[in-house]
Amino acid sequence: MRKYLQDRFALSEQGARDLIKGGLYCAIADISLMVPLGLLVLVLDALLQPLIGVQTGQPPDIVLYTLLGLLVLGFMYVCHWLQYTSVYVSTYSESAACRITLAEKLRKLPLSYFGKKDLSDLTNTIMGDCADLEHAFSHAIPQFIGASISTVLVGIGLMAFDWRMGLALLWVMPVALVIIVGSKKLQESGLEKHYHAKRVCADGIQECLETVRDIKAYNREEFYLAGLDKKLDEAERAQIASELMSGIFVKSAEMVLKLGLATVVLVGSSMLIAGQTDLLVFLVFLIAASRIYDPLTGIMAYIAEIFHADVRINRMKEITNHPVQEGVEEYSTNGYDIVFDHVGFSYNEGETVLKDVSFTAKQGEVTALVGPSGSGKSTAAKLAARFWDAEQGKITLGGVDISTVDPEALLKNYAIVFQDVVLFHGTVMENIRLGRRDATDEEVMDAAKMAMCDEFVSCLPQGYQTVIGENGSTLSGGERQRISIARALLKDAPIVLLDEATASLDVDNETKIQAAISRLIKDKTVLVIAHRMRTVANADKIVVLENGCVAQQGGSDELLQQGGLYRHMVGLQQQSLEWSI
Amino acid sequence: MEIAGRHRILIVIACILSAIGAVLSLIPYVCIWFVIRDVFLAWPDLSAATGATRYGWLAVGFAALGVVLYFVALMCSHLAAFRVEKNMRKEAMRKIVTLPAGFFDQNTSGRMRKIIDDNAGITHTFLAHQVPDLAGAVVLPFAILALLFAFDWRLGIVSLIPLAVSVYYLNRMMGGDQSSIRKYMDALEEMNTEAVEYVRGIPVVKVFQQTVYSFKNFHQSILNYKEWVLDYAICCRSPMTKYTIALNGTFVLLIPAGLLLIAHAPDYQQFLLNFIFYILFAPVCALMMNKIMHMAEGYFVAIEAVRRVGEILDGEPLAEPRHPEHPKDNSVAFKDVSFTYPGSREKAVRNVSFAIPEGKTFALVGPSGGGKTTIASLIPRFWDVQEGSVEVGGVDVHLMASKDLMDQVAFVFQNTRLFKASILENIRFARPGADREDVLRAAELAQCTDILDKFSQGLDTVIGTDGVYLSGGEQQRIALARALLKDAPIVVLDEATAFTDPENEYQIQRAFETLTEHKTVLMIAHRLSSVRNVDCILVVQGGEVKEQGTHDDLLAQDGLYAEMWREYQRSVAWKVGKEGNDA
Repeated sequence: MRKYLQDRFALSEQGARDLIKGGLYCAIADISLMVPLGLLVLVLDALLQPLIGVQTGQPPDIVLYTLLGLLVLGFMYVCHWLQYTSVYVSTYSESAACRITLAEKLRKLPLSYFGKKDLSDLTNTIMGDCADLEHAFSHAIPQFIGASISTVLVGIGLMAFDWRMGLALLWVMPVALVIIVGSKKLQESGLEKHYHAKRVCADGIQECLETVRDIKAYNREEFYLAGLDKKLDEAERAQIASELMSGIFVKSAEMVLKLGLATVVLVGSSMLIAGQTDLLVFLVFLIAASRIYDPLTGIMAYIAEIFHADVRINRMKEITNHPVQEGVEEYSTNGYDIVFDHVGFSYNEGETVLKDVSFTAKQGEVTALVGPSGSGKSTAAKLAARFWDAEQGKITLGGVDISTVDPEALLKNYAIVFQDVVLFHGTVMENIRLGRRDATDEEVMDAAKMAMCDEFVSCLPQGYQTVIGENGSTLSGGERQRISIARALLKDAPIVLLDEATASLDVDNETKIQAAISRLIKDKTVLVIAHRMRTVANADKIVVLENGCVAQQGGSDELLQQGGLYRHMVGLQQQSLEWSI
Repeated sequence: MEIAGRHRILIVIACILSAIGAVLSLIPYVCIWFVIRDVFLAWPDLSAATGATRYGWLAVGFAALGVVLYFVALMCSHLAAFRVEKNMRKEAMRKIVTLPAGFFDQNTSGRMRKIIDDNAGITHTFLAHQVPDLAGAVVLPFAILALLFAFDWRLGIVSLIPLAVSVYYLNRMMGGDQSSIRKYMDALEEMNTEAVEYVRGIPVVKVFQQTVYSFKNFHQSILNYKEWVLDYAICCRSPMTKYTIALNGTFVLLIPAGLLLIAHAPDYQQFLLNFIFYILFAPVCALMMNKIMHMAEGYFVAIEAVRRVGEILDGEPLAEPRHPEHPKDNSVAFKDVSFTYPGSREKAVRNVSFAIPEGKTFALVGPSGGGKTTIASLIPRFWDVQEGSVEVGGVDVHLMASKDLMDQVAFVFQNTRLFKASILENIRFARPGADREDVLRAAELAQCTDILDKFSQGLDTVIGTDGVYLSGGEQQRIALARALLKDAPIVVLDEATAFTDPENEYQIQRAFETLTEHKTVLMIAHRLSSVRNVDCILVVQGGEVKEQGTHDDLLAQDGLYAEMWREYQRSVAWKVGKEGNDA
C-alpha cells in the first residue's frame, strides 16, 4: 500500500506513511461526527416512548444525557485535533523535503538541461507545482481517503439496518460520483480542440507583445488586433464546447446530494404508512441523511485539485527521473591535450550538429573554431566540457575519456568565459571570488585588475563591496564580461574555453577586454569560438567547421593558401570591416 | 466586480436563480416537519397518514427544482464568465497597443502575458463559480433564520448559539486576515525569488564547483517558509478545531434544552415534532457556515491577486494631439532635449540639440550606455521627453498624429521579430496595398534573394512552422525588406543589427545602403569605420552631445572622437594568440 502511494504520488517514504495516517485520521474524524447521531437516537427513542403508549414513568435523565453529550463532544474534539496535526503538519514537512530533493536533483542535472529552457519559467513551474501539491495533500487527498472510508463504513452499517431505506439514502452518492467522473471524460473529449485553440490564442498574444513596436511603426494596429480578436473568439468557442458542461456538472453534483434527503422522506413515509417500518427507524435515517453527505460535499470543493494533481506529479517525476551524468571523481590526466576523435552529436530533435569531427587542441596552444553560424562551433566547445555526451566517437582530456569523469570533477580544470554571464545578488568581491572560494581579498583584486575591472569597480559607490543588483542588472554588458574574465583568471585553470564574441559587446572597451583575454589565455590550452577571422590569425591552429564536419584545419597562412571556405570568409569580413555608409 | 458590463444581465440571472435554488433546497426540511406532524396526528394508525406521502413527493419535487435552478444559474454564470474573460483579453491588448513603445523595453513579454492571463483567469473563476454561490450565501442565512424561528423560538436560539460560537472562532482564525494572506504570498514569493536565483546560477556554480555554497541560501529559504507555514498552521489549529466542533456541536445544547423544555411543554407531541425538526435542521447551518468560509477564503485570495496584477496595466497611453499638425519637410531637429527614464533619477539625455537637414545622414557614436539609443528612440516617440522638443519636419512630434509620424519615420532596431505568416505577408505588412512585384523588388534590394531561394515556396514560405528556420541575420534582412517597402523619407537605424552573424553582415550593410539612399538618416554607429563618410558625427557621452562635425573636422579637433578613433584602430589590430597586442 505504502509503496503504491509512494510511486503514485511521488512521495518520500515518510510522506507515504503520513498520507496513510492522515487518511485514517480523516476517516476517524468523519466517523466521530456521526457519533452524536447515536446519542440523538437514544434520546428520541426515550422521548418517543410516551407516544407509543409505553409509560416508563421516568422522563429521560437530563444530567446523564448532557454528560454523555459533553463526552461525545470531547471525543470529537480529540479526533479532529489529531486529524489536523497529522494532515497539516506532516504535509508541510513533506513538501519542504520535496523542494529540497528537487533542488538537489536540479543541481546534478547536466549543464545541457539548462541551456534550452527558460529558467524563470522552469523555476515557477517547479515552485508552483510544489505549492499546489502542498495544498492538495493538506486538504484534498487525505479528506478524499477519509471520506471514502467513513462513508463506506457508515453506509454498510445503515444498509444492514434497513436496506430499502438505506438505498433511498445512498443512491445519490454513486450518481454524484458518476456525474463527476463522467464530466471529466466529457471534458477530455473536447480537450484536444480546446488546448489547440488556447495555444493559438496564447501564441497570438505573445506574438503581439513581442512585435508591438513594429505593429505601431507600420500603423497596423487595427488590422493586427482584428486578427487577434478572431483567435480569441475561436478560443472562446472551443472553451465553451469543452468546459461548459463539465464545469457545471461538477458543481451540480453537489446539489444532487440534496435529493438524498428528499427520497428518504418519500420512501420512509411510504413505508411508514404501509407499516413496513417504525417511526424510530424513519427518524434514524432522516438524521443520518442530514449528516452523511457532508464528507462527500467537502471533497467536491477539492475535486478539481485532485484531478490536476496528476499533471503536476508527472512534471515533477520528469525531473526526478531525468538521467544524470555519471563518472569518477578522481582522475589523473597526462597533460592537457583535448582530442576530438570522430565525434558525432545531435540534439534531441534529430538535428545532427556534428558528424565525424576530429582534431587536437594541444596543451599550451590556442585552437580556434571558426565557421558559419549553425556549423557547430559552440556545440563542439560545450562537448569539450561535457555539457553533453557525444553520441559517436570520444573526447579525451590528457588521454582520459571525459565521458567517464564526473562532470563537476572535470570542470575543475576548465575556466569558461561564454556570452551569458550569471551574476549573483552579492558584492562584486563575492561574485569574482566565485572563481576560487578560498582566494584572499588581495588575490581577488589582483585578478580584477588583470581583467581590467578595477577602473569601473572603483567608480562604484562602495567599490568592491558594492552589492550588484539581481543578475547584475546595474552593470553594462562589457562590465559583466570583465567580471566573468576576472573569475576565470582567479580560477587559473589549465584549460580555457572562450567565446570570442564576448570581446565585442562593449565596443569602447574592446581593447581593454582584449587585453584581459590575452592575459587569461597565456600558456593554457585554449579553445576559442571565433566569429571574426582577423582576430584568430595568430592562433596556433584554426579548425574550420562547415555543416558539422571539419572542412579545413591548420595555421592561418596555410589555410589562406589553400583557398576554400576560410579564405572566402576572411575576404568577406575584410569587406565588411571597410564598409561605410 | 464591474467588468461584467453588457453581460451583467446573465450574472444577475445566475445570482437570482442560485439564490432561489438555495432557498428551495431548504423546503424538504419543512416537508419533513409536515410528514411527521401527519404521522403524529394519525398515531397509532399510521396507515391513515396518507397525506404524508404527498409531502414526501413535495420534498423530492422541491429538491429537484432546486437542483435544476442551480444548474441553469451555473450555465448563465459560466457563459458570462467565458465572454468576460475573452473581453478582458481583448481590452488588455487594445490598451497595450496604445502604450508608448518604450514601455516594452522595460517589461518582458513573458511577464506581461502572465499578467494578462492571471487577470483574465482569476476573474473567470470568480464569475463562474463564486459569484452565484455568493448570492446564495447572502440569501440563505435569512432563510435559515426565518425557519429557525418559525417553529419554536427557544429551540431556535439554542441552535444559534453554536453558530455564534463558531463565527467567533472563525474571526479568531481569519483575524486581520488580509494581512496573513499577504504574508503567506510574500513568503511564497521570496522563496520563489531565491529559487530563480538558484536555478539561474546552477550553470555557473557547476563550472566553479560552488554547488554546496549556493544551495545554502535557497535551502534556508525553504526551511524558513516551512517554519513559517507550520507556525501558522499550529496557530490556527486550536481555533480551527474549536470552530469545527462548535459547528457540529449543536446537539450538546439541543439535547438538554429539549429534555428540559419537553417536561414543561403544554403539547408534548407538538414539542417533540419541533424538537425533531431542529435536530435535523441544525446541521444545515453547519454546512452553510462552511461554505461561506470557503468562499471568503477564495474571495480574499482573488482580491489580493487582482490587486497585484492591476498595476501593470495602469500605464499611461501615448497622448494624441487634438488638432494634429503635419510635417513640412523631412528634416529632424532636437531642441534642448532632456529625458529621464520612468523610475530613474538620472537624466539619460541632457540638453541635446542638433539638426539634420533633409536628405542628410548623421551618425551617433559614443560609449555604450551613453545615450545613443535613447536619443534615437525619441524620434519615433518611443518615449515622451520631459524638456525641450523633438521636431520632425519642423513640427514637434507631440503635435503630430502618431499615424503621420509613423508614416514619416522608418526605424530599424535590434530584436526585430517576424510574424508567424508567409514571407510575403511579413514584408507586405509595411504597405498593405503593395503587389507581389513590389514585395519581390524590396526583398531583392534588401539582399534577401538567397533566403527566398533556400525554400521551395519562396515568398510564400510560412515562417515559424516546422523546418522553416531563419537565422538572426536572415530575419533582420526580411525586416529590412519591410522597411524598404515602406519607403519612409526619414530612417533611424541601429548599426548593431548587422552584427548578428558575420556572413550576413556584408549583405545587411549593402541593404542599409539601399535603404538610406536619398533619405534623411540618423544611424547609431558602433564601428567607427562605418561612419567615416557621413555628413555629421554626433559624439554622445553621458547623455550629452560632446562634439559634432565631420570625421576630418573631429580628428583635427583632437578631442574625444580622435581618441576613440585611435582606440578603434588598436582594437582592430588585435588578434587572439601568442603575440596578442597589449593595450
